[in-house]
Amino acid sequence: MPSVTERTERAGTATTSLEELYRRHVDDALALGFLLTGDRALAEDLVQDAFVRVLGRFHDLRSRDAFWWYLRRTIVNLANSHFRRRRVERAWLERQRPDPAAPPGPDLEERDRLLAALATLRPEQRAAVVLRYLEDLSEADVADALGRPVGTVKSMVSRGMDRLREELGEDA
Amino acid sequence: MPNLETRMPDLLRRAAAGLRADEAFERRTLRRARRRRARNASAAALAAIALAAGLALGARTVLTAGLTPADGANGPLPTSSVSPTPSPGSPVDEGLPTPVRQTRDAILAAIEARDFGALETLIDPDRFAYNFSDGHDPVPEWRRDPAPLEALAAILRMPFATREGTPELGTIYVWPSLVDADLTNLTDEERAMLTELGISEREVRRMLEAFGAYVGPRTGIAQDGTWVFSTLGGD
Repeated sequence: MPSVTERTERAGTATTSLEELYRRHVDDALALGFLLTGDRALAEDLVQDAFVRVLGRFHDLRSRDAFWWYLRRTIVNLANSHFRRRRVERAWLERQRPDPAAPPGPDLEERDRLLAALATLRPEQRAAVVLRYLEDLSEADVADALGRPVGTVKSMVSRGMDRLREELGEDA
Repeated sequence: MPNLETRMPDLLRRAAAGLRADEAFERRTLRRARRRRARNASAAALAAIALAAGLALGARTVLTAGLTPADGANGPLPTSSVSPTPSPGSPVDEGLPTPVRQTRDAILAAIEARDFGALETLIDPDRFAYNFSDGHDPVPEWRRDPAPLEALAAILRMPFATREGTPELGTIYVWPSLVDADLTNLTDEERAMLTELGISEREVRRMLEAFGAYVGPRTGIAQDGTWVFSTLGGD
């Protein structure tokens, strides 16, 4: 399956309407928001806010190819801000139980275990791991998306994966 | 079994599988985006801001307003504490009119003291634009999360640039002078400023690709000392 970056590049620089940009990126945006928050309703709120902010200024964009970069970064920042401001990590952890509104997946138990494991990471660490593996970004690109030094990102991803292995009961 | 790193992409995709935005979500999102876009385009202050933001003069491509990635998307804010206000006669103040300098100094003093009341008195909601479209009174937001003020203080201690605003506003003094920077040929001083703001070379390349100019944190004070805009990349 091509990454969102590949799909964006494939789309080229042709004139793109607001609706087209929305439709091209909404599924990837929701997936990212969901994995960062573990909560579908919260992910929808964050993704909607991110679209509104970035699309609201989209006429300023010189390159449509930059759209996903800005949208992704905005989603990550909104998620981090959410957790920072409301200090809901504890509540988030407590909420990790089967969600009737959650999307049907091939293996709900596997999904719940992964989400619960991700929930043990700090928000920024979670974002680093999700961007690194969901989007197959290089560590440099993750650093770019998070606005953090590459060394910090390497450390966040490495420690995050160690923690996930521990939570999922896997050997190194 | 393959190791976790190898399986992670698939695990993550499966965990998020099935998420689809329905039509109601699309309608709500696009309606809000269109409203935001219209507000951006119609705000009277944007005409002045577009000039002041350093994006519309000379040989540069004309943009209607500066765009800043939302919510901290310009990179990390400086974590250092507020350093001293430039002293009168400081090289960075050369050519700065007294009313402008007084406003700049008052903003810096208020930030240093975390005096939100003082910041409120420095903002005229009828003449001030925050992040171009996110309102005219950022103080309540700064009270909740004062982190953006560190970036504001940092840019106000840097050299400034000038732009001609509307006839009503006259000349606008814009911080930092990076708004004049040729991003393809940065000076050592400009590189140092970007570093202080936590803006990486990759981010500079993104700005160049997307906008052709610096679109990081910036703020402007009109020649009469009116603080007219601030955009920090933090909503």
